[in-house]
Amino acid sequence: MRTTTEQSNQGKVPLLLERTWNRGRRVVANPPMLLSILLLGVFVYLIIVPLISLVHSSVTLHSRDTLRVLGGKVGELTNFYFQRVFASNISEVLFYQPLLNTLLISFSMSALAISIGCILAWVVVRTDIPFKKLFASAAVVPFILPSWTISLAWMTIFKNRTVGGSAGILEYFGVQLPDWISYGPVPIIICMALHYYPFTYLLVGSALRDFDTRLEEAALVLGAKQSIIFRRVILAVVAPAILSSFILTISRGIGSFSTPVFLGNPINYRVLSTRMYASLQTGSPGDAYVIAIVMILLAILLMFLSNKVLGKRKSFVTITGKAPKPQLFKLKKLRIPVTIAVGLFLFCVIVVPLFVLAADTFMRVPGVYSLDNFTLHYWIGESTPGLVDGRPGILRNPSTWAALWNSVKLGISASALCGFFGILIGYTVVRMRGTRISTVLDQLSFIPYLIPSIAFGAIYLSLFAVRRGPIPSLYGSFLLLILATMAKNFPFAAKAGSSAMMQLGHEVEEAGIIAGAGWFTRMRRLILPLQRSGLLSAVMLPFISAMRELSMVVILTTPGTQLLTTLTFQYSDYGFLHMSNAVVLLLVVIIVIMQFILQKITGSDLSEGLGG
Amino acid sequence: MADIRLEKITKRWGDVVAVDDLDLTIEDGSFTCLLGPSGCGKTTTLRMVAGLEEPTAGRIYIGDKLIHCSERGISVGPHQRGVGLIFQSYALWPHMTVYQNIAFGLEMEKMNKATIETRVREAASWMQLEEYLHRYPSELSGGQQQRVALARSLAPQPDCLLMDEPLSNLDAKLRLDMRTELKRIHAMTNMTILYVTHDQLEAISMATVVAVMKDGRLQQLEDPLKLYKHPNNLFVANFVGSPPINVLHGNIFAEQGIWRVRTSDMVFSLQRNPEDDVQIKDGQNVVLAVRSEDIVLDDPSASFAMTIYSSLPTGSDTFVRLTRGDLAMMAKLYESDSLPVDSQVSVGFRPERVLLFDEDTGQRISLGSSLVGFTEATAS
Ligand SMILES: Nc1ncnc2c1ncn2[C@@H]1O[C@H](COP(=O)(O)OP(=O)(O)OP(=O)(O)O)[C@@H](O)[C@H]1O
Ligand SMILES: [Mg+2]
Repeated sequence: MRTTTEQSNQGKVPLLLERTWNRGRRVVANPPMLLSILLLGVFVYLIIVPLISLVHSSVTLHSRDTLRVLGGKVGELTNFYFQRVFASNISEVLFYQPLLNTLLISFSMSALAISIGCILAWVVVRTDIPFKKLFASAAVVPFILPSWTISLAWMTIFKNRTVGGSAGILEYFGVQLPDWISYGPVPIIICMALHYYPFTYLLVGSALRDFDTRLEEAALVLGAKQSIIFRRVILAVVAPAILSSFILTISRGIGSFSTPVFLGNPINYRVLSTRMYASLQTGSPGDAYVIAIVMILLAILLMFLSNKVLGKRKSFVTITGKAPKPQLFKLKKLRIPVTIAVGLFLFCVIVVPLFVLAADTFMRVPGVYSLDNFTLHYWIGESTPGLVDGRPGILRNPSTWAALWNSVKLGISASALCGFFGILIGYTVVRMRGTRISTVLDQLSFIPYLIPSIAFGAIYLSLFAVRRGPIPSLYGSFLLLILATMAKNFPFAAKAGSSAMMQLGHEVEEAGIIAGAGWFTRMRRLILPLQRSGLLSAVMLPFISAMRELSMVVILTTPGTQLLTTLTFQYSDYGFLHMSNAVVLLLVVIIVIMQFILQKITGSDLSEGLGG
Repeated sequence: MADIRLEKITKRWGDVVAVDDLDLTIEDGSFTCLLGPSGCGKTTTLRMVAGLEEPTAGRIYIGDKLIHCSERGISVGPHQRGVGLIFQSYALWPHMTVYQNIAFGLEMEKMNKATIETRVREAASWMQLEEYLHRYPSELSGGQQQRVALARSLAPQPDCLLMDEPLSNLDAKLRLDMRTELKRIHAMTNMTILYVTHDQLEAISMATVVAVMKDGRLQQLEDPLKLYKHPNNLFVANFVGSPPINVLHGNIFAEQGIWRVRTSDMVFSLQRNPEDDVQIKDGQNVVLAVRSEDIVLDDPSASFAMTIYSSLPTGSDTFVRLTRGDLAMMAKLYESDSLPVDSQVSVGFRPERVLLFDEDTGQRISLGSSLVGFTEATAS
């Protein structure tokens, strides 16, 4: 028979050795464990090392600045850049003014966006307004479009001649426009608010939809006045949604690049992101890296605040139980005016910009809006000297096709990688749940979300600009774009992957373990086939966001790796607004189609893509 | 030989001790039920046997084979343990047909197509699934899915079958059907079955051995009928049986071979069971426990008066709630009868059915004594 005491005969040391050896062997042969280590390596390489490199680059002397620092040598540790940004005679221009501008714009833009979003959400969800479905889906369109669509349209309409070039439509019709309408903070705030209000609209809208009307009715029964009900009951319940959309909006505002660059640069109105870009352009990467660090810290601070504030109050939104269908507020006499107002608003932020952009592309001489000025040149024209420096129309222009192809290539490769890693991250995080490594992986995958896109671009630039030991110089290569886009989208891919894994549960795989299937067989035959929809959203969201990303890639692309987004930016930089507009329209068409497909296939609504 | 032996098995997650120093032997060919309240560590125990969870300490043997030893760091992979496992959620693979579900494990054993086909059809015919082989799990009812899960585990012909509350998702009638089905499978295959449940009726009606657990510890390992009659401690007495056992709190005194249990207003005289072999201390706190079917109404011998609070005929028998002062008991009568509310009855206990437990430790004192006398307590 068996002896249960066979172990006690052995000495302690051999036992320990045997245990360690056996355990070690199992850990090494344990796929989730191996994967965690592998993924940890990927994260360290794609997220941690770049971050460290950013900090490192901000405190080491660049070759260009060796003359400015007494006795400085390249690669030496220095506080030169920090000093220049924070405490020198150019700090004002380099940092403090842009910081103030950034804060001003972010706060006012958020306030405006939230007001619009709340009103729209309330009207669409809680009143008896007609065309609800149409309004509901139209309201989120501005967020789907590239963020600078509205700014380009604004320029096309409101431009004045201050900075030379052609006039806007209004000036053409004889309206004299002051600078503050054409450029600077006011148009930036408006255009950004019009792009970001869907955050609030979606979050507050769903809070209002889930909101238990019984609370409202209870207050009514108790004899509360309508105004008190609104303040004490509705507002209290919706407040967390408003707050979280405020933080979401404002942190986007801090990193936002394209709108300020289009509407602020012409009059030298700088925010942190455009200031950072300018520093990179003028060959002062050190300053740019310091500014990037500040932007990241600001974003982290906001996230921290939001966790502090929302952590406690979140439960308000998730009132469970079957709520009766909300009683719709009767607009009565106001029904028609409100409908018209909402319709007009949505018309102005969706149809008008696109129409204006489109119209502009058909005008041979910019700013002359008459029929004989009509041309298809900017779309399909052959190269004509004197018109946009002899460039052919965009559909005939090889650089358009090259950029389009690059964009698609980037989208496909980055999103395929994202899907791949998303599933692996999800699998590993869920399987290793409860262990420290799982928590670490989960948190690491979230980091890129905290970093404003343009700062993320700067991080990658700082790491890959030159060769560093085992890390090759990738600047100018397409691979760099893929890596950056992939890493930036890790949070969404990981989230999609782990929620799909969570839904699947562990028993489906365990049944396979019991049946004797090895890890690869389990993955191939049991898990992956059940992850299709998770995989799809882990792929599609990064694809769409890669297609319309500008601020991150703008500092990573080179003429050889031009994308559609950077192409529009470049055209507008040259002053070829028509070309820029035409490319944006092309982009809009592609994105809308992709979004449509995504929605059709996954049945998911846009709120999941809030980050994208 | 495929008995399962757990020796000093402990499983901890941080501060949570799910299984605590568990010694348990599951005999070859037995149908052992692991019974206990929610969270007592049944699933954890089962998963450790299957190899899906690794014990923090202890050893597990299946047959002669050491499959886990924390001390030496040995842990044999789940598949090498030769066990089948049925999950509470069934864990059928939704993208495979019934046929593919059953065949998967056989494919993993690299059997040839023909053998697989025969084995699948055999397992399917046991479970009456022949017509459903080409359906997907989502196209089956809960009961059919359950049978697919069974067929899938049976097809590779494991030595031991582990089941985690397999019937809890079925409705009452199907559950009854499946119980008979499972018992037949056990009789036919003579597999060692370890079956987890928190339903004491299920355990008692199916098992050849019941292991009662509480807070990760084994309370009693017993033949199901003995378990009901001779619970080791107050917890088992309470947990097994429905309605729950009636309890009276009091103090015990020994007088010339007779035990007297004094409660607030009564003194029960008990003839101790000859098999009882315990020392009591005079005045010790005890719990006197009687099952509802061991209460006799209108008893001419040793009896005492109680009031009928209400009676609930079920058709086959009747539950009667009796009160006396602050004391309440539930009696079960084997006839259907509606008794007049508030009438007085004399109540006695069937011989050798009065259980006594130490109130402080919960351990059993008496296997079953007989009530031989009763007096009203006088204030002393
Ligand atoms: N992965 C885990 N991490 C931490 N604690 C766990 C884990 N799994 C189980 N536990 C804890 O271990 C204890 C025993 O759990 P187990 O699932 O074995 O209970 P059970 O007897 O099967 O209960 P039930 O009847 O509800 O299924 C519980 O307190 C549970 O909370
Ligand atoms: Mg369980």
